[in-house]
Amino acid sequence: MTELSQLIVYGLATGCIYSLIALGFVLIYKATEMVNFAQGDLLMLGAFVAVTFILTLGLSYWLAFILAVIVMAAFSYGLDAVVLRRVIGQPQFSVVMLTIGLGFIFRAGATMIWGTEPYNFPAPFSSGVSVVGGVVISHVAISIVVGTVVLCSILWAFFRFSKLGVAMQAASQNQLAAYYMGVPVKRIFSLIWAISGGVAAVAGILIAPLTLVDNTMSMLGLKAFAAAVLGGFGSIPGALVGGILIGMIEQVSGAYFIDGSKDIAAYATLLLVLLLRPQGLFGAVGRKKV
Amino acid sequence: MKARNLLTSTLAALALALSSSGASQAQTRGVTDTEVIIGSAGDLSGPAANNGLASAHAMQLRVDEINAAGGIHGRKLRLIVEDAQYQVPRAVQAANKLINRDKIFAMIGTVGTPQNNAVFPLLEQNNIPSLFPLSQARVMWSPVNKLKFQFNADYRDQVGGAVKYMVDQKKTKFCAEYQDTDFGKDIVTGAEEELKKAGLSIVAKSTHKPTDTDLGTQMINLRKAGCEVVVLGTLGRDAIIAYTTARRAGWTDVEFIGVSPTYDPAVSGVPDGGTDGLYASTGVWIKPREEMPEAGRQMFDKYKAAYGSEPTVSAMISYIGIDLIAIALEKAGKDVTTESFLAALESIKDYNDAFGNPPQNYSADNHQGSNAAFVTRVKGGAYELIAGPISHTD
Repeated sequence: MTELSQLIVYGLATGCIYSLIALGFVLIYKATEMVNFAQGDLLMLGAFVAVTFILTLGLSYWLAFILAVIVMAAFSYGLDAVVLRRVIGQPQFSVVMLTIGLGFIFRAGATMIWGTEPYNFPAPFSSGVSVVGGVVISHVAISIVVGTVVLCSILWAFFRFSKLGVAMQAASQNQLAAYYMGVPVKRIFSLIWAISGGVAAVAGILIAPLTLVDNTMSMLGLKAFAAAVLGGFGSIPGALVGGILIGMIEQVSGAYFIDGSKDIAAYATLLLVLLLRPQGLFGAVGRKKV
Repeated sequence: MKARNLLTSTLAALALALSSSGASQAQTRGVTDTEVIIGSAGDLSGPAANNGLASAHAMQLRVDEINAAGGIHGRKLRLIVEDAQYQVPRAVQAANKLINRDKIFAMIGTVGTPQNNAVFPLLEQNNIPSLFPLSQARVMWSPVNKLKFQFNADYRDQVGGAVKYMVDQKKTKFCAEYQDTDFGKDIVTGAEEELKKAGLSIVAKSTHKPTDTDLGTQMINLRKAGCEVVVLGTLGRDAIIAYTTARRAGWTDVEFIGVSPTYDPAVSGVPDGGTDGLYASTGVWIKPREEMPEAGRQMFDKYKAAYGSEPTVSAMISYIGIDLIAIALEKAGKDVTTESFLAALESIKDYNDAFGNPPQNYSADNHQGSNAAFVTRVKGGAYELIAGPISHTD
């Protein structure tokens, strides 16, 4: 029982990270119908930026955290304004190729700027642990879960209560109608990219003490993609639940099935869901009528 | 029409005659009057780039030193490094380019076990030596092949030395956490060979992928098996993740031993002493700068001035590799051929490198310079020497 609880703690922590990346996927997809395959790379960049603030500029963890999120949000805003806006209306295929290409550029760029040595990420709670009923909970895991909950609450409140958030929802539901109502759709799209970039940075900074910072961090994006599909690609709660489910399934399958099943669990689940419930668990994506 | 045919065949015959006469006068490949060309399929931007870059830098450093001193028999060394990004297809691509376009004389410092295994057949077809690769897998020098040379303890020697040390410490329950690759398996094989001598075996094994960022389940499974020692078949990053995961989960009555890739400043430098207590076995022990011979101290300073960090094991290995090549070229004389160069390498005895490692000896039936390993342990952000040099074959 202790063992299962321990696995759940691990699963919850990694799952929250998948959730945050999946959230980035979904926000952009809902608003602009683009799938951003560079989401994992934005996470990696966020972690690199934060580690630079801490190690090179000597800033405190919290200041570095906030600045890195701002930097990544601005970067993603610019990315949309300068690059991605130009492919709106082009076939999905070109968007997919473009974001995959951007991912390659980000990874190579990160190697050129920060080199290839993995950086240790100093966080105020990186070595602490608490024992609750025999289950060891590292403070990093707690920080990930708390960070995810806080961030999601802020985003929920933003979309529910702020004028800008409501405008974003409007733009994602019907661009034309929103535009006629005076919503600056273009700028709204860039802002959504900014939020996704910021969320990716938060995810990167939260998980960095566990994984170290190097360019393999971007691999997390692929599993999070499975999470987003699992939850139903257009659904925000779906992305969150999907991420946590993938995290847990990975851990539990690794412990109770044959060695190596941990690596395929996420993708196997994805295939199963696509077979049995193609719209995902919280499917909100309507089928196109031909 | 006929006339034209005749002309074409005459031209073809002429071309053939010219090319064959050219071949009969050809020199040794990669050796011209002014230079000797050496190639390397490194990793400058992939997951092993911390090793690959350090190696490329150090090789160039030694090449520059040799050239500044006038070269060898009037020839300068020219080093061409290709980026294989730790991917087998790219390594093959790089090797093809080096062999066919650059016409290299010898290959040095190719990064990665599967990459070297894929590249070697190409080298063999063209009779090009495969020297001092950045892989300490046994197949890099054994079984003896006239073209393959490695100078330091391979992974099996390293893990053998560390296991021998742990067996001496009365440990009996050994486990393994390793990358599911040729590299990881080689290390596990080495541990099993050494354990067999003591009548022991590995009681539990678990694997992961090189890019995995979480080893929570693996550590839980090994803990269940009651391991006293976990042999790590890992590179640096996954070693850190495995070790810190286990310790943070409160698993303290266990020792972890890694091989040379875990003997790296990125591993010992984890904040808050996160890797304190981790064992790393290595064939090249980096002495404190003050204890190095003069040549080593000079290299240390030059490297640090040029690249901003202290030379790592990979840097030292490749620096020594170029040095050995230069010695063999010197011995082989002005009219060097691949065969005379290989014979010269085999004749090197009691070679002491710049960094004060155990002496190296080669012969016709031994292409490994030394198999001595050092067992080190992280303490306060640095490695401390626990035992060694240990030769597990003694």
